[in-house]
Amino acid sequence: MEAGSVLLPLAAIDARSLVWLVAQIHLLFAAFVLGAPIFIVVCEWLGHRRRDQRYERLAREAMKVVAIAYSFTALSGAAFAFVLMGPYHEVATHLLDRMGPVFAIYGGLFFVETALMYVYWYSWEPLADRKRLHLSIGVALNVTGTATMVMMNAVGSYMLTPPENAATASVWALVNNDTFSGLNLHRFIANITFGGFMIALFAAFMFLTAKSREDRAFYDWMGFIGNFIGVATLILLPLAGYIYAKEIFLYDANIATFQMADKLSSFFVMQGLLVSLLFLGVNYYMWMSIRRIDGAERFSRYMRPIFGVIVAGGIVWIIPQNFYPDLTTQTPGVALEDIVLPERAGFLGLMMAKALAVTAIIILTFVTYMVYRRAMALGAVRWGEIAPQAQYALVFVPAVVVYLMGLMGAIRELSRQDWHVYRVLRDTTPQWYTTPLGHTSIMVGIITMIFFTFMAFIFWIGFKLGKPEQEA
Amino acid sequence: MAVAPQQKAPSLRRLIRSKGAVLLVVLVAIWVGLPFVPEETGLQFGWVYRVFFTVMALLAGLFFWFLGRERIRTPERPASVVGSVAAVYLVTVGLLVAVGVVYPQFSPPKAEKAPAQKEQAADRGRELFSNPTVGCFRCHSIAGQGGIRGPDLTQVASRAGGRVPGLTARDYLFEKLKAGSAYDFKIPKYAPIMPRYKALVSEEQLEDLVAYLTTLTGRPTDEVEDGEVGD
Repeated sequence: MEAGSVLLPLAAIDARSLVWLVAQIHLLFAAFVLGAPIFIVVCEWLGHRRRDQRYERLAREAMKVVAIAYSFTALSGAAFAFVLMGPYHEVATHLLDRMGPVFAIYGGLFFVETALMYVYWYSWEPLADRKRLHLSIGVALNVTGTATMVMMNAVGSYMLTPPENAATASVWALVNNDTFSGLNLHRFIANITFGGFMIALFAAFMFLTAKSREDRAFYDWMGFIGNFIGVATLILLPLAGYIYAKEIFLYDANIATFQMADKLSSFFVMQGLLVSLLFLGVNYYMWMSIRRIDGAERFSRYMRPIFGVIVAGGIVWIIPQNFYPDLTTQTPGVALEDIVLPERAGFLGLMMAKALAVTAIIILTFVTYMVYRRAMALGAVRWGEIAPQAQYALVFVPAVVVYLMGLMGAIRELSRQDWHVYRVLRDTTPQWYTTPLGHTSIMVGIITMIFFTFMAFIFWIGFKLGKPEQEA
Repeated sequence: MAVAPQQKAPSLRRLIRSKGAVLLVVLVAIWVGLPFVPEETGLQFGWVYRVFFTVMALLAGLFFWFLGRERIRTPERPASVVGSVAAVYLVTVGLLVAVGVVYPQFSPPKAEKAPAQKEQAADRGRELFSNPTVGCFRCHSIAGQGGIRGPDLTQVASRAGGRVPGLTARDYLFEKLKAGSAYDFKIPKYAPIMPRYKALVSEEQLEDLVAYLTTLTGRPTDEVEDGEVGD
């Protein structure tokens, strides 16, 4: 096979592309409506405990977005089931047959979660004097939501790492497969990160369109809290990712080779680029917003050296060991020594160097946060006077997060190679093969833009279209 | 008079410290320094890596330039805010997609079928081969079963790839089946009586037949000379 055509025909959308698109959009909405309520309840609790009305307002405005987004989650979920049962009825039948009880519990939990979500949202005002009860409903909502996610993680992880003798194994053995806990841990943390950054995006947009000084101050603060939640959990994600990857590698080294040295190796270079951009974005926000703290000028001399290390770490992370498209493809017209790291620099392409680079980036992000805390302790924060470019950083970060989620979702699915359920159920559809990075990138790009178009619609419905009635 | 040198010194320092100068030094090091690194050091980066480092250096330079910028202007009208936010998304996603598209990558196997599909196609091809309407078995034998007017096909998958230079076994068999005895390449010692199967079966059936024939790599039942075993 020779390196050549990058793009597959996208004009007439095929069955896989349709399922891919609908499934990923559903997952993005699901991640948002599962992750955001966790910190919404925490914010409501903080508001109640500290008697700080800003937390209460944050929780309430964020929950309004979640309530609208919940409908989109249900709609996209129904669309996903619909398209899956058409061209992919074989895999749908297999999963329902082998994991029927899991789907039944999932359905039940989904109804309970929906009921709790609407009760939590609509009882905000009536239970204003019974905050503990309202918070308890919020906690129950999050517990149910997390349990719902765990059910689908069981199905997703089974498809990649089914147990031995999958045909005769018990349902619990299928659920408790080798990557079940790793996927749960990674998704749980990632959903909170995602929820935090999405709320920060909402705050940034509201800040940029705010007319009053009070609103600007509030949305500036809200963006700070959203970003803080996002960063605090983002720092944990590489570790959770390593745990998940290790579980996959221990399950089957062939998948590891396929991911790291074969067809998916370039996908992981892209992942390194995206995570580096993510850390650059959140650090940029913190350093830009530190300028609105009185007396914080004294810390500005640390900014460039810190970014120097983060940028260097990011570059080390994405230096590829080689530019081979996969293990068998030849690149015509390019000498071997041009596309392979030289001998003495070979270590730059190894995991050891990558892990050191990631560690350095994480430590310096933590240092930036500590500097921020120190600055806040020494001087007053002039909420609302933040530089607009900091708000655009909060706009930029979710774009990278959603793109990254789409890419990582594709990596997980493509890791099964030509299997629906790895080494159990073969993919015999015309789209059985691994898509190259170019095709995958176009798909992920389309998904990202569709998702944000829906989110813009949700913001518009919730806060622009409904505003006159609110104010009346 | 003494003021001039004092003013010059900081400006020179500023120049050395400026982002542009640092970027220039890095680019010179990449394109002028790296190619002259002795081979025995084991640090000779190829041109693909030098392009990679150049892109990284330019992006880092752009980032540090942006970092040094003072407060930018806030869009005043809501429509401008929406436009600027949309622009951030379009540029970010557009650039990320562009990176994914230009990165070296493999081609998807458009023409090949999945292993399981191949097995199914070969099964259908086997049935067609034995089907009296299609009639392959009347002239060709496999493992001693079938006619003798055409060549033995027991080993056809092993031999067909060497028939016509540049054609794989699959492609050769496909062309030969389509054109029959009208095909340019003829097997010696056999009468040119093979029909044009393009006119007798569908394109999918032809592919199924080829899928079956490409599985035939076994030993022939009779001793035959090289060249006699084929299509």
